[in-house]
Amino acid sequence: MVYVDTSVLLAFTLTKGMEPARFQAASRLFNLFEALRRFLDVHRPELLERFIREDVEWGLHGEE
Amino acid sequence: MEKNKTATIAVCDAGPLIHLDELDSLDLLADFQVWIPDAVWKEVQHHRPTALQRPRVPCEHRVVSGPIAPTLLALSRALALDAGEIEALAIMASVPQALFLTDDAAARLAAEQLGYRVHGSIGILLRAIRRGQLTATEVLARLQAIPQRSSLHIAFTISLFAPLALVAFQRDGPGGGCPQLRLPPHPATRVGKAHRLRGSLLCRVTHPGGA
Repeated sequence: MVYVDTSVLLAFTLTKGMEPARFQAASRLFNLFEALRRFLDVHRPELLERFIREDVEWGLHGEE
Repeated sequence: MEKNKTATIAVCDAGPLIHLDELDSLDLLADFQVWIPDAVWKEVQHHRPTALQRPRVPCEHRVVSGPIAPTLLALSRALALDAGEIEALAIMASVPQALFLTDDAAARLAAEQLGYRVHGSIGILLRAIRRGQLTATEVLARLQAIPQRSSLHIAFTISLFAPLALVAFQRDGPGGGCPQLRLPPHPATRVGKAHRLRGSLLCRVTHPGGA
């Protein structure tokens, strides 16, 4: 797993006096979002295909 | 026009409003309560003002009240969402049972992660058959007109899928399956593994050349 911007987050934490547990939770969240961003960058065509498949399925057979 | 307050709320991003209007299909939103965030309203007013002037689609101009949740802000920054998409997701937080309409992959991914129902212009067009608003032939014509008449950008191979699925639907009826359309693998794949855990999309990102 890639840890991104933790130094920035750490500086923010020290400045704001964030508790270590909250820092760890925030760090996990940051890394999840960064992983999402990378996933989107790499898999955009596959995502678009999946979204259209889901739209077709919902449009023709779905419920409100 | 009296608005049906029991209708599903559709919180709209700019994309579907603009793209459906370009395809003369905005009326397909008439059976929704259409909520348009302020930033989206301004964007549509600038790029496609006619989309806000359809008498059969009464749009509610919604302004986000209160600060944006830090989690949404962080997610929005990571996925580079624009102001309209952020406002739309902030409004969705107050009506989580609503439908979010967007044609943007990043906004749709963010909405999925937040647990919202989300669809795009293609879904609205195809839904018109199920709702009896248009015939399958009419919808097929509009899907095929997307490259010429709409600014909705989807890759050529992907753009074939919805018309193919609709032809299969016409041929086989509602029980028919969707055709399989295999896309070539993306050349820049660097993600080693992707899997779903507790409803969230988590992916393990490997370093180039790393273990």
